[in-house]
Amino acid sequence: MEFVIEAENLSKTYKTEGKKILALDNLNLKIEKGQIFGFIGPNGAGKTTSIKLFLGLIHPTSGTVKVLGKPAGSPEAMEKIGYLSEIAYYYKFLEAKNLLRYYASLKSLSKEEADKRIDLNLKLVGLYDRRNEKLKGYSKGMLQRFGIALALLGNPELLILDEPTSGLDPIGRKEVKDIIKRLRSKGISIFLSSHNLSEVERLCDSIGIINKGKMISNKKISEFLSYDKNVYTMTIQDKEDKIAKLFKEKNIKIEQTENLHLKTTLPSNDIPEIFKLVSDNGGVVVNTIPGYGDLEEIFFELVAPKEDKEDKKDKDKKDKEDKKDKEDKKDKEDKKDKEDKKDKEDKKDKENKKDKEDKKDKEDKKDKEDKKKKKNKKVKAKEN
Amino acid sequence: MKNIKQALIIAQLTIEENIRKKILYILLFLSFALIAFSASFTSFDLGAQVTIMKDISLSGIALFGIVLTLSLFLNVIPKEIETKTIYPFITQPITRGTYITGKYIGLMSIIAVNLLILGLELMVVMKIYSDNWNVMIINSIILNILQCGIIGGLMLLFSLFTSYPLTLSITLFLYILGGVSTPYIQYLQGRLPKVLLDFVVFIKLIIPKFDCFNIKDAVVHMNALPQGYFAWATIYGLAYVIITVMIATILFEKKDL
Ligand SMILES: Nc1ncnc2c1ncn2[C@@H]1O[C@H](COP(=O)(O)OP(=O)(O)OP(=O)(O)O)[C@@H](O)[C@H]1O
Ligand SMILES: [Mg+2]
Repeated sequence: MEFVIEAENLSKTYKTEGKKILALDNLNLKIEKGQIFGFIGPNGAGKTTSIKLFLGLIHPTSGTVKVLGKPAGSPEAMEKIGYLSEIAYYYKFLEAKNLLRYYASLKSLSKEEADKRIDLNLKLVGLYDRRNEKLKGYSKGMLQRFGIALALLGNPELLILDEPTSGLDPIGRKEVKDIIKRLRSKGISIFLSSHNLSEVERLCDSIGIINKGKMISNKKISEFLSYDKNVYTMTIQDKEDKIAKLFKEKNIKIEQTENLHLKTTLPSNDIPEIFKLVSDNGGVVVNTIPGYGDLEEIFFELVAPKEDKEDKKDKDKKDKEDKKDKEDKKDKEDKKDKEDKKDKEDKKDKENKKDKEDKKDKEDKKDKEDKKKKKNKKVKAKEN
Repeated sequence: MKNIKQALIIAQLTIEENIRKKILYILLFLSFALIAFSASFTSFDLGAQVTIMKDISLSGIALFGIVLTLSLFLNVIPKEIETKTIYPFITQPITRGTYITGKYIGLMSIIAVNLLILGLELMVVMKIYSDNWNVMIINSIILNILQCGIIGGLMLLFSLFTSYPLTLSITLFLYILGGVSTPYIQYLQGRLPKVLLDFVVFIKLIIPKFDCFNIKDAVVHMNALPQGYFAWATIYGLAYVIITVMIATILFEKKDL
């Protein structure tokens, strides 16, 4: 197996004004060639810090990292890496095309090849018409697009994108996502950090979740989301506060309770019965989604509760929570076991599905396109 | 080979960035005016007038070089780090040493061209007044450039680990100390604590002797320099330039950007 990024026990502590900030805590990460890896986490989680370590912009406090099999930041590695920084850091006094020429001339590209690729990439990001304008006059989104053109300049084998869609309008976001998809089909490996979970969900092969410098989870996307068509997640409004009790009596597991809303996961056969039970008891089924919820929920389950806990300062509460934590851990371990079993089953299912899908594909193309359009509309609506 | 090409590209970009700065033209104009002004001194004795002109102009040019160096080198790398405009460069296949060398070459080219312009102006003025091309002026300018090169290298070096007011102070301190001749230091004996004196003597030992780049007196009075002096001073200056840029590179490589 060939890895494009190999981080071993990678840690980074920043020292500023006598304070020490552990920004990255013992990261172990291997990213396979040709993969799109999504790196998600809240603000200050350590995403940019990790990326800077991969690029050799900063040095690790401990641990090692190799990129494309070479030491991070070495010219040999950088030759085949395209990088998009989270904020645009470009000279403002030069014209877009002119500046790209300077960057290109630092790479091993012939002049003709560089010019060809510059024009190609400027067209790709929609800046070709404004290539002779100074960056001073570019908008935030245009600078972001410029950055993407720069990242793609040197025929990269690995793209490292720090929040590639930030600052872009919905159309721009979609364009960037389309670019990423197109690059994947060319076999380019991509590491992208993002807050936007739905984005990651749709684009990535694997995702890592990082919080407070620690990678909490690193899995294949299929392991996160098991789109098992026989399972549905229901959200139920429990107006009269009866349903929760009823569920307990009937041994139906409630996953979440919030403002008189319940969340539960059920086999499809049980759905009619539950609908009836809910309406008989003054409740409303708010929605029913196939599968085990979406990534956003998993993300917030992993990240948000911990943050809330640490914000509380009462010692008593902490003590209680410690106990809870222990219980939670047990629960999680139980869950893991279950998930492992499920995974194995999932894989079998998928193999079967693939065969079926290949046949279906030809017939379904038209249908899918229609669905895609609908999805896109939904995505836009979400983003708005 | 590739490194050299890359360094020259960085240099070119640095020049393109800095020739937009107004300070450059203001300083150049002032020095130009100074030389023209010195030519307007009238004297009964043409020889004396030429001497005064050369003296004022060469001092003016040397000062111009130092001020220009201080203003160009102050903050170059720290500013790039702070605004992070360095990122898109350092993430290209280029070593940090190449980058910093390119920056250095770019800024020094600006300084060299400016000093040479002034030197040529002075030569033309001299030709008009004394009807002879005083080639020594060019030698003097070249040594000026080398002196600026060392000052620039020191600033590059210090700016990597201190703030810019400190960079400026340390550089000026070293420049002055480097120009002070040894008898003055002996004068300090007994007037300074021993530790401090030892420190000053040690610093004095390792910093360049800036006074050896000053051949103004010889040029003004048309005295011949000792044989090989110019070549020796050039090599001496270049050695310091290389050492300072090399140390700056090592520090820069260790730095988190
Ligand atoms: N140069 C620095 N000096 C000191 N602390 C830093 C520095 N850079 C980052 N940090 C700290 O390290 C932690 C991780 O920061 P990082 O920029 O990696 O987060 P991030 O996941 O990229 O966040 P965001 O989503 O906001 O971009 C934060 O606590 C931050 O304050
Ligand atoms: Mg970040």
